[in-house]
Amino acid sequence: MSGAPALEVTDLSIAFQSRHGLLTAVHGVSFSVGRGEVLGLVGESGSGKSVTGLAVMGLLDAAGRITSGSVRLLGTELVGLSERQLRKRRGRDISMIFQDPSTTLNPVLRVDTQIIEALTAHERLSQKAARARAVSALEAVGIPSPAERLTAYPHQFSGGMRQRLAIAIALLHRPAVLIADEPTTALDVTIQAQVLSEVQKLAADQGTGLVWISHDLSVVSGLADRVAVMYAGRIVETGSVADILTDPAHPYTSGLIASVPSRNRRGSPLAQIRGAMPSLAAVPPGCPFHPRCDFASGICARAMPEPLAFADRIVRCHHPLAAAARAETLSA
Amino acid sequence: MFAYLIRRIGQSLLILFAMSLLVFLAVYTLGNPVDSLVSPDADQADRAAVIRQLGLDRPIWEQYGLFLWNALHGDLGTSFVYGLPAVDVILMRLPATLELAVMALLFSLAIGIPLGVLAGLRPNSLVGRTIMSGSILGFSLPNFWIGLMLILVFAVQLRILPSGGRGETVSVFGVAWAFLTLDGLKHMLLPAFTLALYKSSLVVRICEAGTRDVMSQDYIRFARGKGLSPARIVCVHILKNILIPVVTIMGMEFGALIAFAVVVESVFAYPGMGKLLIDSINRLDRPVIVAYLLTTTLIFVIVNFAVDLMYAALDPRIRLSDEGAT
Ligand SMILES: Nc1ncnc2c1ncn2[C@@H]1O[C@H](COP(=O)(O)OP(=O)(O)OP(=O)(O)O)[C@@H](O)[C@H]1O
Ligand code: SF4
Ligand SMILES: [Mg+2]
Repeated sequence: MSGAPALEVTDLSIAFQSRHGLLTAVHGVSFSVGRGEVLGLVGESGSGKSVTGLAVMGLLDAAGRITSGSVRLLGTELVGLSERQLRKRRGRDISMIFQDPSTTLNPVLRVDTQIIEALTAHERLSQKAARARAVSALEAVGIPSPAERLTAYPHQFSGGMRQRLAIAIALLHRPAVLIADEPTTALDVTIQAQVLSEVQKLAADQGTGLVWISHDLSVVSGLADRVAVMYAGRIVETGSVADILTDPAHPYTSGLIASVPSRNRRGSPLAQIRGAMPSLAAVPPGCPFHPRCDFASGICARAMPEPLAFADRIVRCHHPLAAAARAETLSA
Repeated sequence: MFAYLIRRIGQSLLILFAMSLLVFLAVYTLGNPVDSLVSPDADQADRAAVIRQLGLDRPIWEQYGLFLWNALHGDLGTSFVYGLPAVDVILMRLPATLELAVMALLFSLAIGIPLGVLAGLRPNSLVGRTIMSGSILGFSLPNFWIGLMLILVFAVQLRILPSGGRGETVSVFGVAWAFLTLDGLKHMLLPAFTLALYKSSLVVRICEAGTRDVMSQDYIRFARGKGLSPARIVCVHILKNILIPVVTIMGMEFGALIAFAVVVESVFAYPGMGKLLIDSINRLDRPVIVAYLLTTTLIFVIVNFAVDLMYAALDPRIRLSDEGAT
């Protein structure tokens, strides 16, 4: 593991042009993923996870744009690149898969068309070679009788199979980074686990760094090396999975953990975080989590907490949990 | 598929049957054709002879039965004006109207699809807004007025295009076609454009709405995420999706094109079916009116059938079956 990480995002801010003027959806987000590493990006609905993923890909829709910050892919800056230059990297060095497999594939194009066009977008190869590659790509994601299925249309596949198709397409060129935006959320529970482990295995095999977006901390905990927790467009805590799960420093993280159904608390009611994520146009001043936080004090409503780094973790809170232990680390 | 075909053909026959009944009632039972056939100073015996000859003394259902029987044998009566079988009179004029309508259809697609897609890709740009405002204009300007203006500009002022008529034709398999000669094409240009303008506004609207809708779909994001060129995304991923509503709606509108041709053919003195209809109405040439209405119905039925088949070919999710898509 030498040189630059596969993906390094620094201080990324993203805004949308709206009727209420320019609304910032993501504020100064930083994270990085190494080759073969898995980063879990976790947060409630509306926290800005998808927007972050799309911005990294350069796929924000017309109303959205990156207002500041940097996205480095294999050491190369992507922010400011022309659409043409970005296109050469998309699908080749970085790919993204989406939540709903029923809408990710074009309904009126055959599967082989959609695979082969992704191949020929970045490589010159004969029709025959392309078909062979397509077959082995389908095989790799566990689609039965791939050669026959190649001429089918997306609607002839089940949801799980469609998500496998999308994964196969996204991984065709062995990208350095795959952004997976809740790809298992829309699937049946049993299929979820299969697809999850398949992506994990494929990514690990070919050294693809994985950014796994989810609102479900329990999904991410079994998969990721590191976790970044997002709230209202900011990363409020990052750290290794073990640290975050056993010793959350941010009240929001601890709230997320408490709301995960788990075996040791069977029978006791689930602790839900009260209240709801604010909308972009109505983010409260100070720490945006304060109306929902049990630990809030006067300063929380007035000042935005600055990121606080200790060991290999970062937390954005005026009153991090288990403060005593933390203070020791800081003074040491 | 087979069951579908049978069912569809059955439906078509039913429509034709219903139309024949309507046409018969509307044209044959209103007014008295004897008045226009017999000279005013003919005596009672002469009148009675004509009435008997036309079968007007029989009960109405028998008259209709006879009409239907003859119609099934391709006999819709003899034109009072031309002295020829009405079907033949219509068939002589049919190619002119058909090629005019097809040309207008092609025009409206050639104008409407690129403009509509462009407006859909850039909905908030000046270009996009101009196109959409233009399409409202295309909707609201009356056909005959556009025709007159075009004649004024291109035929009267600039003198580069003829103001009317069909021009030279060549005969293929015994049918006279004008689209195969340059002169014929020149004559067709203005009327076809006039006829196409309203439809191209419709195509612009369908394509704009379709493109905007498709552009916001995940599969377009995913396609862009694969690193595809914009040309590939527009020409394959978007176009193939929006062609489905375009084909369906334009297929259904083909009948309307033929109906509107009545106005346009009159303005341009274009010798098609539509102009024939107007002339025949003026001269009370009933058999020709009937033949026009039934021929138009037949075209309508055939085109709708063809549209269904094309729709199924374009959209893989649709299978032609008794229950529709499952
Ligand atoms: N095209 C857009 N225009 C305006 N605002 C947008 C747009 N896309 C997203 N947003 C806003 O950005 C914020 C973050 O949205 P995002 O989709 O990233 O949330 P998320 O964390 O992915 O949530 P979910 O779990 O529901 O997918 C939301 O408040 C959303 O309203
Ligand atoms: S800063 Fe205050 S309100 Fe925000 S999470 Fe920390 S304790 Fe809660
Ligand atoms: Mg999302």
